[in-house]
Amino acid sequence: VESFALLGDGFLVALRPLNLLLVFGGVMVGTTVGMLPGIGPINAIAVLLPVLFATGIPPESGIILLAGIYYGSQYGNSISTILLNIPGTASSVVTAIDGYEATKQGRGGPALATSAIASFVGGTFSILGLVLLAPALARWAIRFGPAEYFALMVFAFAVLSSLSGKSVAKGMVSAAVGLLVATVGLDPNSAVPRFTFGQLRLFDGVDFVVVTLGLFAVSEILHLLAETEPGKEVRTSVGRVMITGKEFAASRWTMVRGTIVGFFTGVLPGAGGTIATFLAYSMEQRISDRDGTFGKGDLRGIAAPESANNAAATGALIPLLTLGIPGSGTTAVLLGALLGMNVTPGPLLLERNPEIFWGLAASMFLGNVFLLVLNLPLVRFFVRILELPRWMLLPAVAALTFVAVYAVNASTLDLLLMTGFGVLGYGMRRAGFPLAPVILGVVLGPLMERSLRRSLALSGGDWGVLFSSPITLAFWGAAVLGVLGPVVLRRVRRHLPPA
Amino acid sequence: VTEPSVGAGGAPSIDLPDAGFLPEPDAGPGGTPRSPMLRTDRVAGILLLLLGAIVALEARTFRVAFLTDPLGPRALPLLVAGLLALCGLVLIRRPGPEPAWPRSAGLLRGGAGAGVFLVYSLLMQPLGFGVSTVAAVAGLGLLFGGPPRRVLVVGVVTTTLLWLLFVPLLGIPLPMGWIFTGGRG
Repeated sequence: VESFALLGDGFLVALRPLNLLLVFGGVMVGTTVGMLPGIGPINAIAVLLPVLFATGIPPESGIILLAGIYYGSQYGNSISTILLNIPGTASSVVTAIDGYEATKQGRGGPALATSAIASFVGGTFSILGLVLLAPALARWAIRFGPAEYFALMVFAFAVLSSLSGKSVAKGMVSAAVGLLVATVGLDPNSAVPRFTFGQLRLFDGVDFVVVTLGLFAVSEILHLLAETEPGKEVRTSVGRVMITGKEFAASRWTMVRGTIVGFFTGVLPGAGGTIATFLAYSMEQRISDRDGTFGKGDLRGIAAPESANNAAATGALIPLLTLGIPGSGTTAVLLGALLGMNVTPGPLLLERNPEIFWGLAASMFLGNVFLLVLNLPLVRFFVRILELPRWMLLPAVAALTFVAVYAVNASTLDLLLMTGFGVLGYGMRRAGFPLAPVILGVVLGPLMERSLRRSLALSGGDWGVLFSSPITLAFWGAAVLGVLGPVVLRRVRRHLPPA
Repeated sequence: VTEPSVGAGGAPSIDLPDAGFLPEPDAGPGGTPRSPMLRTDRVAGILLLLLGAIVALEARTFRVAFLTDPLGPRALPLLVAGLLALCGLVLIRRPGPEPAWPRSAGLLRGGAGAGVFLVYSLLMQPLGFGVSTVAAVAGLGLLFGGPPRRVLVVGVVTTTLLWLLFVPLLGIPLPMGWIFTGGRG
């Protein structure tokens, strides 16, 4: 009940003209970049960061804009997935199964409408979960000491590394590379330069914006260059973008179930939208696929992953805001954004900066309404953008990326590093090393090292402190389970006859 | 219609017990079969062992004049070096299935793209934002198969829009280079 009073205050923040404009701008940019190849929410947010820091925008307005891009991109993603079978991120792969099938049958319009409504249901109802669960989690986490935080971060790394790639070892390599990049620069405790190779420019460390844009934006363009067959362009037709009441009635419980599954999966650090969509789809298939229509353009096969996807995106904000622990690449960039605006997410955020948490929650209600109302009529406009040839769109995206990075520090070294990380990122994604754990490592690295060193300073160098409380033991246990679970499941599946 | 960029890109794909309805993402075109000894994962494993060794050697040189905390600046880098080497060994011992690398023409285009980025990075400062951006956009446009005259137009339009966005609208200065400042800037 208290939550809802505070949420009311949040609406006062979200309804300020500037913030209203930023929600609107954020969700529109989010939809566009979620749809287009080569950009994506991570890149859009990272490109905007230097600009936001330079303008000195209030943090609640900044996060309202960036979060708008984050959840708005989930809507945009489904447009290119359903119409063109191009899932921009792994969390839309499941939507492609029935979504693209529906488009091939000439039912792209109803498929898009289903996706938008399911996204709205998932996005909106999960905010209620956020508002109810986050304060409780913050109250519990307020007792965490450095040892608990260290164990929690190990848990987040373990789960993200083992779930985001095919091989646990590769996921751990990615996380380790990120942690290594995070140590570059002067050690905050002793002022010893680490891995700076005598470069004064590196004493401040490598800016995570440079790493992020290199790994995601530059490498994506290199990837698209290596894949493009010149002369192949995109054409598509949408048809009527609406669904009938009967079609909606058939999938409304699907959306509710997808929302619940998605929300709780999203709250777990590392699990995130991809797993939520898989779980929601396979669960829905088991519950309601009586006539075997799943995979043949069934609208419920779109409603389940789309509601789960959006609910998971909101759920993932809970560990980010209340614990300061992001569980995915995009939320890691959001953490970097908050830290850059001098806001430290954690159990005290709700008390110290209520306008940030409640303002954000309220703005997300508005943003989801904007997305639902605007998306359907604007689908044709978005498709026109999608039809821009790659030789027009992608070079412009690349130039924006380079100019934005250069504008921050006026540093040639930053540009060279970004290019280097682009090549590294291309090689990594080709060889099957996931990129999200790298970003998590770069952003969490300093916090992780600080909590490790602080807990050992408190214990006088006794490593036992890391395993000394029930909470730390629970996180360590969960981390081991996170790494070994998928391996064991794979073994078990190998010994079972195929179902 | 192009192939799904997720599957082909080797970007996140997950292994769940009942994820069997997904097509195998590695089954892309243009995969080059290699001899079993020189698999991508083995090469990566060797590189990781090397990286781990370099990190460990470098970390041993981090010396502090006085003890600030029991761990000091070395501990985390050493842990990371150990983790890298361990994962490298795992990849050498048990390499996964060979990923599909693009055909050589594709790799060549990608390499040319990296070259454009490298030159762009180096020329942004001395040549100025304007000239270097027009050239970089046009160069990339050509690599993506755009017609020569039109990619130049895209380059000029993009550069103008970026200048409008950054300089007058956001008030963030960009290097203009000697062409616009007559050798004074």
